[in-house]
Amino acid sequence: MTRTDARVRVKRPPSVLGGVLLMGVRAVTGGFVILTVIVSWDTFVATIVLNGDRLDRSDPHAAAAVLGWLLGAYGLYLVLYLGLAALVFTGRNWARVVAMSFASVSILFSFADYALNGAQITLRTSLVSVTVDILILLALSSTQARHYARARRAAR
Amino acid sequence: MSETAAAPSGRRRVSPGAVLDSFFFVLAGFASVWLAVLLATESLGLGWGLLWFAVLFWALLAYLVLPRLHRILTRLYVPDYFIGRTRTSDGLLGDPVNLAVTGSAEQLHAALAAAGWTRADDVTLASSWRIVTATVRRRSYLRAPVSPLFLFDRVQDFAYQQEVANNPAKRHHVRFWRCPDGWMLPGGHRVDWVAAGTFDRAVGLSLFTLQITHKIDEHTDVERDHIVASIRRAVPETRLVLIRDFATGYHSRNGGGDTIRTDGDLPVLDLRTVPGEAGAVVELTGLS
Repeated sequence: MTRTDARVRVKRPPSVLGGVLLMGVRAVTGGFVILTVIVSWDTFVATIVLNGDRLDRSDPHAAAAVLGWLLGAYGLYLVLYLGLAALVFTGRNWARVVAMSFASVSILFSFADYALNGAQITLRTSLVSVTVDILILLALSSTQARHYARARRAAR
Repeated sequence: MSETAAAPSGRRRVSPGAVLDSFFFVLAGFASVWLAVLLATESLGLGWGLLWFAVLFWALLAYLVLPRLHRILTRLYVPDYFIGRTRTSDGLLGDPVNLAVTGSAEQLHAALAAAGWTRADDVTLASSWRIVTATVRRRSYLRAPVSPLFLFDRVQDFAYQQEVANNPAKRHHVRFWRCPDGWMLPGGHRVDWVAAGTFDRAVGLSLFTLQITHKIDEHTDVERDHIVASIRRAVPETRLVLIRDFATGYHSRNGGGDTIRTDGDLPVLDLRTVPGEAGAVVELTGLS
């Protein structure tokens, strides 16, 4: 079977589209976090604490560098995550499995926090992000999404 | 035969990928239940926001949580071989198989068109949107798609319907599946197509998933006989083999929780006709 045949035959199910859109939402909210930090840079620099002392008082440059590195790493993660979403969209099975693993780990951590530490998960705290993670996991683990990824792999 | 032989051997060969998929499938099921609990807890603190939150909660429950739980459970305990019942996409038992056809696809399409049946569109984003607009504007949508039901592990090949007095809530409809090569009905009857015909009488909530769906009329035999009569009127050459008591008569429920009652007879329409010759009616009865 040729590639074009497979592309005509295997239709992308709504669950894959939905899952990818939600991954996009997750990346965009991450982008907003970065923007928020940059806008109120001094406030966030003041929160960096080393050995119980505020780092910006002893060494302002080092404090700014630490925050910059953290933001950069997070930004890189978001870019990679968007790339992962694109690969899920094109039907790569390993990308789907990795995306489901990320969502699962995040959900399990939230659940452990909720069940063991009695963390409150409300609209004001992490309810939205937990919801998005669970919806991503539901969408990408669905039978349709699995068949789609498998069929694309068989076609390649 | 080939179908029943293939299924178990495919299930015994377990790949790591399949195990991982099952793990995520079940984990997502549990996570969605937790999400429902979280949303319910959150809603207690809301005043007037409760209303839209309740709608959100229902949508989550009906379209994500309950279908996933049903899928996990029905995969464990609902038989996957032919028992004369279709299955819904959640794996629940659906409408009864109450008609069979011998003949080619062309003969079947021609006979149904002649008998005044309209082929239903496939479910797509465009056709789904058209259902919404048609309902809102109270326009009729003759080719409105029907929901997917499964037999032989796949969705129906096509479906036909007849509108009732411009009422989108009511319609005659019948789904067709091509039988696998060499496959026989229980009892050894060879047919090319099996079908499930029911009459949609209203729009309501499914008992098992709470989804908005068509409710079917419980007397499925009336719809079966209507389909047979309409085709035999339009194509008088059609031969009819009526297998009496193909299944025992039963009362049951379909995937939406609607009751079904049937006498268990299975008519087989033979469309491989000789033109100009009136089709005979053959009745097959068991020993007694």
